[in-house]
Amino acid sequence: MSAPILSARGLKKSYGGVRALRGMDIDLAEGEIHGLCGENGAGKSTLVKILGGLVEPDEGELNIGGMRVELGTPVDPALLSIVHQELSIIPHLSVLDNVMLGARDVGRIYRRGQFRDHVRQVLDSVGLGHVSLDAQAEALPLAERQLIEIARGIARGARVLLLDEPTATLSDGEIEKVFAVMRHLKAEQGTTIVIISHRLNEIFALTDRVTVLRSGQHVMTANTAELTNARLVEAMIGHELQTGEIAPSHAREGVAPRLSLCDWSLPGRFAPVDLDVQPGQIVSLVGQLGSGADTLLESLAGLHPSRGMLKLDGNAATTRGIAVAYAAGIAYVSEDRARRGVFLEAAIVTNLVSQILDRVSRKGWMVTAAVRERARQLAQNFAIDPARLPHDVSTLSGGNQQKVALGKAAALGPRLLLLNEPTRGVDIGARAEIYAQLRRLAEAEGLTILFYSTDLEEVLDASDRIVTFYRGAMVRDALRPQMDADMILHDILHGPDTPNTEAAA
Amino acid sequence: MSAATLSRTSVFGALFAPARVQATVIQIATVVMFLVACAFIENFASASNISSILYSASTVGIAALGLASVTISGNLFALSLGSTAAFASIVYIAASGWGVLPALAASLALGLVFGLLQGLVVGWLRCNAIISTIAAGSLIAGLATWVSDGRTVLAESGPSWLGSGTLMPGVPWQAVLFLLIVIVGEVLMQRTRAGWELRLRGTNPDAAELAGLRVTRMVVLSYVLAGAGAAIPGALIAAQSGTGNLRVGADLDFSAIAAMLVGGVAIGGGRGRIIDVASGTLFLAVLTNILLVNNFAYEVQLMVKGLAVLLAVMAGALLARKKR
Repeated sequence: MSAPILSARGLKKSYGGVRALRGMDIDLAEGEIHGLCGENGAGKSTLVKILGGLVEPDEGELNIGGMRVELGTPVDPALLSIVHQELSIIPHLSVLDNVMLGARDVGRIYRRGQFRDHVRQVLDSVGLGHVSLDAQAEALPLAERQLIEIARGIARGARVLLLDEPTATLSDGEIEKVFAVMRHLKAEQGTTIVIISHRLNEIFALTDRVTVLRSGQHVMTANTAELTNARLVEAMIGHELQTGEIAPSHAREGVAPRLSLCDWSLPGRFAPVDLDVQPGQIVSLVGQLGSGADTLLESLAGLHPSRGMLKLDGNAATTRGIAVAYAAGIAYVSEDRARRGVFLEAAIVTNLVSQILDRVSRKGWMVTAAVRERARQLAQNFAIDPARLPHDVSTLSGGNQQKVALGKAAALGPRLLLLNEPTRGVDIGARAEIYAQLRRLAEAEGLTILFYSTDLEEVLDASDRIVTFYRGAMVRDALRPQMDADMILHDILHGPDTPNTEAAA
Repeated sequence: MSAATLSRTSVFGALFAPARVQATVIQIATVVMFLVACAFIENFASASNISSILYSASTVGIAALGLASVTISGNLFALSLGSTAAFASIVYIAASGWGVLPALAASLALGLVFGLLQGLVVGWLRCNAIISTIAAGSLIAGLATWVSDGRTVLAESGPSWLGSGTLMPGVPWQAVLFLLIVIVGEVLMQRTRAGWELRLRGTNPDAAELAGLRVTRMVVLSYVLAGAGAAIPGALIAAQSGTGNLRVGADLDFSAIAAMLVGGVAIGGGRGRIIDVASGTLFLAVLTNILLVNNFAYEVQLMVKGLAVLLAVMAGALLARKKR
């Protein structure tokens, strides 16, 4: 290997008592795509922030392009640029301004004209050819905003591009676009790309080499071609993954439906849907963003005023507003964990009972014993460390935060549980625990679960039944054993084979 | 490690956790400053000086407690406290012929109504909290001027127990009232469902809404409490001075904000306790009094108060950064 473009030695970083990195080394070769893998809390994001100069490590040194870099100060974006996990798009600025944000060649006065051609080219190259430079960023769908973020890194001509979960918010069709852009960058410009992803199929599809972190330490670096899925997972979690084979429970004859939708529609978002779901079934609604599948899920929780009839156990239920839906026995978990899903700055115990305050209080007074008891049960059910109950949710890793979000909704004891992206940004170990718990709820308590996901692996792993959507209409409704990845991708990317009004109804 | 040391370290850890460290430091600083002043400043510990500290702490403190419910529930500040207090002082004097308690009740009712109206505008109509309360402040001041013809109203009866009475030398009834409100407020905020909902609303308004909490009701409630919290000091000052006029609540807004922030309530909502507001109030009252008895001019007192708030805000910002 020739001299690495980036080389870090002995990086250490602690946050309070938590050691996020305990002496990390990494070398990046020029023009490679390098995957960073590890469970939540393994130190990937900290590493990326240190490499970008956003966080100052306690110890260590860093060389980029053969030069020693001063740690803790932002690195020249022409050398290294980070595409963050959290979107850093300014909603009220134009697409052009968002791409130019933070560029160093702007000078004291920002004259847009001279950059238009360059930015146009970059946008075309990331598949945003149809987006106007002057469009406001907030008007774009989430996926396109993510692509703009990537375009920002490219526009600066960075020699090293760090992508922290660039695909977490994207659907599969869009992910393919982003990958094509990365391969193109590598081939044409020799850009070195580092990608963090929880989706292992992405790692295998895209990367040349993989580095695995565990508990803030370097575990291994290997050529992707020489790795197997099992080997990679083992390196990440430190032992073999025990996935109890999830046996899809088949539809049973003669069981009255738990949820029954008749002519359920939201004009402009999704066409009328008829759907019956039995107790204990886990159904995934699959479609790209904007396909209507996500909106349908939200509408069942009363987040959109929809038309039609919704019956729970045969009784018509109204879902005007989220509180009404909760009272009717419908619970909902948001896809936006940090902003809407949990109270990050409140204790785990408080979060877990936050939706059942009426049940752990008497005449307006909180009953401490009841709070503690309910929280303890929920923590046990969702594999949350009971010793951490008094701590804030923000001290937990993403996967454990998601368990809190689920526990808090499950506390309601709903008849229908709606999950929007149930394991976004959650590592494999926690995923398995979450799926196991959902399965247990479905089987033991007959809970019906509907979830929306853009993660194909998740859809295939966790559902009994898969309903696909394309451009606001239902394409197919089939049991899990009758579906495979190709069929789902075909449905959500191309819709039904022939224009068929019956299937879309 | 034995169980005893374990529990001691965890109590210590809880007191100095990032979320609590400012409140704890202010509590300790207040006690230390008070003891040092008692030892070294002549006449500081006299009954008349202690009672003058408590008079100023009680009025500012009660307003700060009401305001804290707005801040903790995530709506920054209400900036109509001063004019509400002024109007309440006028109402108190006008009603003082009926006796102390009816007059107090009349001013309280005025504060509740103005608080309710602002709460509906902010909570129900979802208008900007700051602008709405500034506008309300102007409106209330205008109404008060109109009602009083811009004149100072004078009490016909003599001094009352609420104005100048003491439980014992150095402890005025006003301070007892303040203490009662602190205890009741602290218990309600920590132990009731509404208190939990109010605090959760403050930590994350979007998540609170999605969790199905009674968000609108909590916001309205917080403004009702703020209105009441502003009216009571208006009545107390009127009872003490025997006058009601528009100057009564002159620096009440900033003093209340200062007391609350210095005590360790987070501007962004969700963090902070009612007792923190009380300790912030006492800290500033003792500090101001020390300056006063050492003959520092009013402008120095103003600067020190401003500096204290700046330091509190900077401490909050630093703690928030450290957590990241």
